[in-house]
Amino acid sequence: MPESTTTLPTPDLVAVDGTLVLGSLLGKGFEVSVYPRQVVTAIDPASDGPELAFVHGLPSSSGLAPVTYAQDKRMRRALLERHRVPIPRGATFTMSRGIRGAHRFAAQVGFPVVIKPAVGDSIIETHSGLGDVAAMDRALDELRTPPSERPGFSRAAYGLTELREPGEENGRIVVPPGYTFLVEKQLSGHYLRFLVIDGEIASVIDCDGAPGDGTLRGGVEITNQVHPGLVEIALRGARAIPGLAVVAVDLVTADPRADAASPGTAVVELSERPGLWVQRLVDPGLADRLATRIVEAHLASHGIGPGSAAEHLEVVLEAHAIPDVEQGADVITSAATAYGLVARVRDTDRLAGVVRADLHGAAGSIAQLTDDLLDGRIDQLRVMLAVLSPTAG
Amino acid sequence: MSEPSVTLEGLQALQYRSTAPGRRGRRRTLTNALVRVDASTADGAAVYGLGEAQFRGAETGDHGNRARAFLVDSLHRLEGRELRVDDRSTALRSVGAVMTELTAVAARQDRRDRRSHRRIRTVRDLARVLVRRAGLADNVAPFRGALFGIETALLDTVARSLGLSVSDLLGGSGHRPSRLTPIRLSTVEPTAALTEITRALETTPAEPALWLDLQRRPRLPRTFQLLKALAEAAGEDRIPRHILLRRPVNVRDMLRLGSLRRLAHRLSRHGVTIEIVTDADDPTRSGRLVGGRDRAIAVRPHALGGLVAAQRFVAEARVGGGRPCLVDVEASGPVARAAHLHLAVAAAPEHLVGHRSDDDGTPIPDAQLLAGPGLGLDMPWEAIVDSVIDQVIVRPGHDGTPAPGLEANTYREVPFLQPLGPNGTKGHLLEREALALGMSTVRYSKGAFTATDGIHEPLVFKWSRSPLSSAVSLAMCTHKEATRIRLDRAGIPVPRGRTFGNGDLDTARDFADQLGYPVVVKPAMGVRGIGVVAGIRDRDELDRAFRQLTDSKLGDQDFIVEKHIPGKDYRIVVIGDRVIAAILREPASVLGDGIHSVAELLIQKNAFRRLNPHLWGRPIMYDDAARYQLERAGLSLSSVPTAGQHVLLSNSCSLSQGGDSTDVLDELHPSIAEACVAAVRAIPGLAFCGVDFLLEDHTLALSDQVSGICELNAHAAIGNCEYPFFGTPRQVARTFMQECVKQYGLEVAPEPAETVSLHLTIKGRVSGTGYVPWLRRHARSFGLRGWVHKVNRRTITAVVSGETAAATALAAAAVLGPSRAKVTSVRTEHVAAPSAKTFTTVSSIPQELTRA
Repeated sequence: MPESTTTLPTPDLVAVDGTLVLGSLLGKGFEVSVYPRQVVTAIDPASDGPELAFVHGLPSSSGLAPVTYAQDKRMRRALLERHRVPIPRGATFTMSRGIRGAHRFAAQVGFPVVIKPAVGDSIIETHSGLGDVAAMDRALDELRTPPSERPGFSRAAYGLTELREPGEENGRIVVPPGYTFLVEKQLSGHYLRFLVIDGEIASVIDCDGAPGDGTLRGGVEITNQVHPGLVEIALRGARAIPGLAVVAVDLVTADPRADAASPGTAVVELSERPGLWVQRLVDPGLADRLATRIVEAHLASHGIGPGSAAEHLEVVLEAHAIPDVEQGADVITSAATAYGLVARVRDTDRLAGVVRADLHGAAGSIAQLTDDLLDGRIDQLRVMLAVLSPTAG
Repeated sequence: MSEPSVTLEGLQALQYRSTAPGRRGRRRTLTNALVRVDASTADGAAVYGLGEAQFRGAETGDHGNRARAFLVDSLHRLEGRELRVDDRSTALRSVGAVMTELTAVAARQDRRDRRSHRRIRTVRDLARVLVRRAGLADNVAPFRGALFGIETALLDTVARSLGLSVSDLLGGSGHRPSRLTPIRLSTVEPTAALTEITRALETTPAEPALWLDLQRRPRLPRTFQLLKALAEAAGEDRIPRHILLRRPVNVRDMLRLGSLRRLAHRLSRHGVTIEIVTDADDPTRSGRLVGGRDRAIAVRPHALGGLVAAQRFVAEARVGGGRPCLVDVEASGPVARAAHLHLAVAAAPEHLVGHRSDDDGTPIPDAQLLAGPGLGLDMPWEAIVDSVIDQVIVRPGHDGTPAPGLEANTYREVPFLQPLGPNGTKGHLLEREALALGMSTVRYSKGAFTATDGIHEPLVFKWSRSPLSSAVSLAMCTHKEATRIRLDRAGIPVPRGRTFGNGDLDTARDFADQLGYPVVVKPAMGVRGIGVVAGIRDRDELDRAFRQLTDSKLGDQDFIVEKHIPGKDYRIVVIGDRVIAAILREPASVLGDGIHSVAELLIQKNAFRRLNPHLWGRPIMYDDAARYQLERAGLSLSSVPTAGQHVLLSNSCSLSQGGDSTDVLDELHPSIAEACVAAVRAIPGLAFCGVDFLLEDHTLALSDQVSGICELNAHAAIGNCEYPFFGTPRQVARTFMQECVKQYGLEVAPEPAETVSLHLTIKGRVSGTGYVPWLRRHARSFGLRGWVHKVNRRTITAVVSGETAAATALAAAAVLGPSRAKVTSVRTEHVAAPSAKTFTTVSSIPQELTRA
């Protein structure tokens, strides 16, 4: 295998769902087209079946309004309450007028509290363990930075775009005055991550730490040991926002094996994204299997069987919209090699900006390489469309 | 030989919005009315005069619509009136006689209003009245702001007819008082207040004294603290050594002002002087009796009812030993500011205290204004033209008919939608249709609601994001390059182009050269046309476009350079596999009639836009783009375009930037409709879409023209095709909701109801916010029947019954409520029509309440 000079990017946790689902589709022999921001369409080259589509690993059966509701924590809380799902005491406040109210609220419900942006991707940017007003103020100061300027900020491709004018405080550009945040009572106990696919519990992880605040160190899979009462709460939570094919529900409880009626049990997070990086941290094979289950559930909704899966495959990569195809071809082969793939450039089309290359290797690695190329993470080469077709024969 | 006189032939009032700094960095919107008098002299020469009425509630005695009504009534009274202008004093006497008459009318009108409006409803109202009667707060006589505007316009008219400046007419002293810029402190906490003052002084030229306005907010102890801090800072020369403090304490402490004055006196030493300013607002009181010896007195023409009264007051105050300062009102326009300047030169107060305005561009130099004639000012179109919200013309033969060619649509539901704000249609129309079909809803915010038939799972909506379309479709549509590649591969016409990384301008320049001009620059993930620059003809324009994009809200994104298609801009709406609406969008423009100026045509057009539910909050703006277009055409706002001349005011077709919309659905060539449906099908899970198509001619086949789809909007606004400016309105929201009903198999009424009775359950912070009167007021003004009842501190329930458009709009607005309310949800269900004939507040829920 030739030497590679490419330094591979650090894997992006938020992108794991999309990459795993892409790998699963490739393994099942689909011809896939990958667009920026993890938009994937897939067709079975051997049949006349429908075109499947995913974004960040989310199947197209997740509706636009439902995912928007899932990203709005105030409405999400309202819908959970209407479905009698226990949630921690919480309230939203605006950055311009609500700080004192937030302090008062926290004192009323009792410290510690968590603070999260009221709108945006769930299970990220959670500031937890805030034990006093000073800690709250530190967290709020971080949230004052406009989202796009925060380190490591990410936004789903279907997320709401902030169009309000930013504010200014002593020369610092800050979020608009109407920016809202949520303050919730922080609960203590076991932090459980439920993954619900098409209305069924697919996995439950007893987390060591919490996924949303950067403290997750690992966890244990307890899918078959969790108390049915807690399963019922998680399923009710997943149903609270109709129209989501996949839901990650985070629940805090004193004892996962005990009855749900125990006080202090509540759903603390809900996301329309699977968040498979959590399961991958526990067991990489589990994350792969869950990605496959998401794909197969979507296939089933179109009346298509699961089919077989291959771990290693040969595909033709067609990378589009490359400004300099010679350089692009070099970058692609070098990066593919670094991922442990065998790569050979078939041809290039200078006018169309297209590079065609044969790739041979693990489905997961091909998926990772493709995602990185689309995201401009390898030598700043930004591909706008990658078509991956199984090699005939 | 005829007597020297002027006859008032035409009068008009242009009510416009002006802004001033508010609390927490926000802007406050205030209302002025420019008064214009058109007159003719005895020898037939035309002459005009300008004034500015200022409606500031308690500060000027002008409250809401009653002030406007008084102004209009006054203009009617003045129509045809003759003013003698033999000389200065005759002219002043003529104007004085008219103003005496109007002041009497104002007093009568006020007495009538007081009888018909029970003004004392709460303890707070009573306290307010008592405080005024005791002279502890503004005690301004009625309609002084309106009278100030009328008098200024009359003085300007007669001064012009005499060839004098207004200051000369008033008897100019020639003395130019020193100017002071007032600083309104938002806090009296000493450190923060001093920071605020220092910041304000950085942007103000050196002035002889510091004028601080505390707006009667702080309690006395806090003002004491501030005073001490100010004295210390002044002693250290961090701020000017002469400090004047206006409205220093809350009305509750007004009786203890003496102690504050004593403290100010004690602190005034070592060259530092601190003074407490006394306000003068009672025109019946002699200036001699106000304030006292050696006291600074704030004289406000807008509170005294005009320049003449203020001049008299200044003179009397001087006789009484006071030191009068002429003070203007916040958010004054150029006419009022000019009037103050003329008055200052005539009356010679100690200081002219004038707020700064950033609303009206470059100010006219004082010398030019004082040279006259009159106020030395032409119609200030630049400052007000795009802020005009109402125009009243009183002229013989004028019936309010708009200029020919402006037969735009008007829609009667506008008043129902106004409480929802400028984007009201976007979040409301789908709920209206759901309720019309008999569904019940729960609304969580202005944009978000769920709807259910009571049998199936609720459907969720936010703005025009529905469950019909997939998240995938939006992800693809908001990435313009992905959309273009996708459509291109599906054989649908798109412009050539590509995306560049943020900041990669050099490569983009080379690419544009290679592609050939003209080109378009736009953000990779744009919305609402933000940052889009079309028709770029060369590298210079390309660089300008890059700067414009970088400065926009989406300037931190990757961007696209693509070939410009020289076509017109169409928005075509597809639901499912059908094109259901199509509009042509054209840049903001006016059509000349050979009579009206560009400014007047613009105001007329904006008046029509205010009668369109989608456009009422999106007027044509007189901005840099409009200036540029007028300059290119060799025109100005005062130019009168020839009949049929089309005057462009923008290069953007965005309706948000003043563009016009014209329905073209019935003329759309089938090949265009087919391409739109094919484009939507090319995007996975896209069920509702606004297709932005560039076409040379919508009646021609695609094969016969150059064309391209430049954007797909997965959450397109519904209102633009539902309410076109010209042409046939299309029922986009109704079709959208019917598609939802079909897709999810909902059980609803076969036809939308014309009238509904809705039971609202409003939850959230409603107690003590004035919610019940707010709901009652709106229900009555919408012509609805029913009742409202406060259940507990966090719940209000109501039944509203009447026309569907009105009842559903109120149900949507209920989630906003009055400004102090914070509503968390509004549940809306159908009930049997109430027996009530009007809308009332009830103390218990009527037993008749049953589900429909």
